[in-house]
Amino acid sequence: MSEAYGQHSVDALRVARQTWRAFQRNPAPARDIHVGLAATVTVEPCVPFLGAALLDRGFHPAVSVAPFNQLFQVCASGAKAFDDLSDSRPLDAIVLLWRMEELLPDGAPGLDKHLDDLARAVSELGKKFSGSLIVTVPPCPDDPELGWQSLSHTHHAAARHRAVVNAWIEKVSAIQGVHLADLDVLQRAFGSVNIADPRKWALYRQPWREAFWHAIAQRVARVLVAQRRPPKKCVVLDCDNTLWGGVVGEDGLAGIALGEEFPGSAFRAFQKQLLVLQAQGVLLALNSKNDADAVWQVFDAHDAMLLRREHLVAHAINWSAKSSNLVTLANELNIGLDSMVFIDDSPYELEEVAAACPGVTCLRIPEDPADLPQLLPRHAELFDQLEVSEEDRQRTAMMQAQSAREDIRAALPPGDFLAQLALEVRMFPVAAQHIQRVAQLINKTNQFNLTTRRRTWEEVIALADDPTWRIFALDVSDRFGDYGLVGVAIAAHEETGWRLDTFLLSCRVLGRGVETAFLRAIADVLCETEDGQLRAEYLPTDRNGLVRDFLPLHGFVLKDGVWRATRDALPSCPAHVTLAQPETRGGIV
Amino acid sequence: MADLLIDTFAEGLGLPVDELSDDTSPENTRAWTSLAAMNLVALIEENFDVELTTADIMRMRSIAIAREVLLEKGVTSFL
Repeated sequence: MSEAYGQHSVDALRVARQTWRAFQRNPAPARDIHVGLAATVTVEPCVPFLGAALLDRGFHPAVSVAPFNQLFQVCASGAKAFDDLSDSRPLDAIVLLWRMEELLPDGAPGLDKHLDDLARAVSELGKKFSGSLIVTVPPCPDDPELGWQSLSHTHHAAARHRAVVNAWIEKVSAIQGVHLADLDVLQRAFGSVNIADPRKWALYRQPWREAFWHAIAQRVARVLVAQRRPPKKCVVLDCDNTLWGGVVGEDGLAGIALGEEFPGSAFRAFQKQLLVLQAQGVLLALNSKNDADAVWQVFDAHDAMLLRREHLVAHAINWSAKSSNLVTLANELNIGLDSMVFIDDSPYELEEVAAACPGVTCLRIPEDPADLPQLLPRHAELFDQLEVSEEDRQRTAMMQAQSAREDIRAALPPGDFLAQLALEVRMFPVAAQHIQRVAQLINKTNQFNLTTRRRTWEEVIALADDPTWRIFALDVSDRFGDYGLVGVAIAAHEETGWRLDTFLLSCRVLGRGVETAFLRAIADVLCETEDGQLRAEYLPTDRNGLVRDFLPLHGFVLKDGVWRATRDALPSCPAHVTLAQPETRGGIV
Repeated sequence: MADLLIDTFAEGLGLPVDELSDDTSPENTRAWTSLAAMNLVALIEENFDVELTTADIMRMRSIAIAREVLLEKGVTSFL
């Protein structure tokens, strides 16, 4: 049985349906995501699988269905088109699933016009629906009337499909905030013969076998989760039999397997994939029981190594327990253990780490090196990220600048260090080009975050357009380089004045007085007079203890359950921080 | 006694086992909609490891007939 079937076996389907049924019987806990499904075919079989896929990922979902084959009406009327679940939360996401068989039947002229109409409808829906929108890439039609195996006709439906897919992806990519779920890729993994259910199509206008619906649900759930949850931040790698075959300390530089020939080629392919992750912002680190010189010799002198020292942000090469090395690395990089993925070939080491650091995701190098290039693709969900920002691409370089700062900090008394940094802070109102990074910070910042209110990209855009809300971003630099866009504040104008709804900073600028400068800059913009009042909240989570005392330390007083401060009660910008005048610069893109 | 067929219908129709009998049919059961029927086809096929034809599906207008159809296919696991 192929991998695709393994994940979507009858047992997997049964478990998913049971999970969903048990959850639905239980009115608690409160639903935290409500997804609407609209399709050109009968979509109900997807409901339990989507529900279970979201439950498995820690959400408490509700799922609604729009009437059969009414995509354009759904686009025109938005959330109103779905089952009336008035006791449920409003829709957070709409999934539009379509096939060429219904919307672009064979022979229909004006393919491009039809696609334009659909794209325009999706775009209209995007304007009136503030939740997330997912549209599918249609699978290749498997209509026997078109695809019959006459040699002269076999290419017919497929050629048309390719043209549609290319045009569709281009049109949808031009619509902001819409994400794609590619059913064609899924269909290829299964094979169109294996997904078709002609009986259910004939009787119920439902074209597919249950296993394919299960696969669709998984794919849609991944997009929904990626919109709401940050990817893993760091991959920590063993060296021997992980980055190369063999043990460098015993086999020597010439004896390890790494190169064009198998098994060395498998390790090279794995390294190539690690570099792809690194380029999208995942940090790479080493955790190896080894002689450091032997490891660095491979990095510096083996000409088949793709991974180089400059791709790494940290390393622990010693004879300590791997779990304690992971804790050290997490502290050094200022990230949580739960954002780390540890990869090793040794079941013993993996077990030791799993027992001591349960938050770390552990992956084992397959016993057969031929399977190694499948390891990361099979766990791609760990690194799911819908958009890659400039900050992501620069992350490794920024971390390296950070360790240069740490070296200086260690060498100087604290006051001197801050003065030496020459910190510059610029606050600016958020514009379209910042939304992606701003939404990313809103959804992943755990520690320095007063309220931990998560918002989708679409919600951020809606607030940015709303005159009663203000969204500010902060970029910070020092003499070692740019930290990038590292702070976000959202303020709501209410009858009694401005309320600070969101105030967060990336960990990498903490402990430098930047937060004080940021708060001051916000108050200077929002409060027109010295006695103008700013209100704020602290909503404790198990991760944001760091900011428990932030408000009282910055002149806020708790009154009737709300923290309040006047502008003149706030501390001024620290002397070692230069605060650029607001709105003088658009920030980095 | 546990009856896998009744259990399957209970799941497919979303009704408690004690409300179902061999007489249960779309005529006397509001929950037996065409969507429920579609769901039942999937559950019956998975639970009894059979493949139903459209003729089988259209004939199954009661639990008793479903039992007959499965017997004809050599399924005895619910007896």
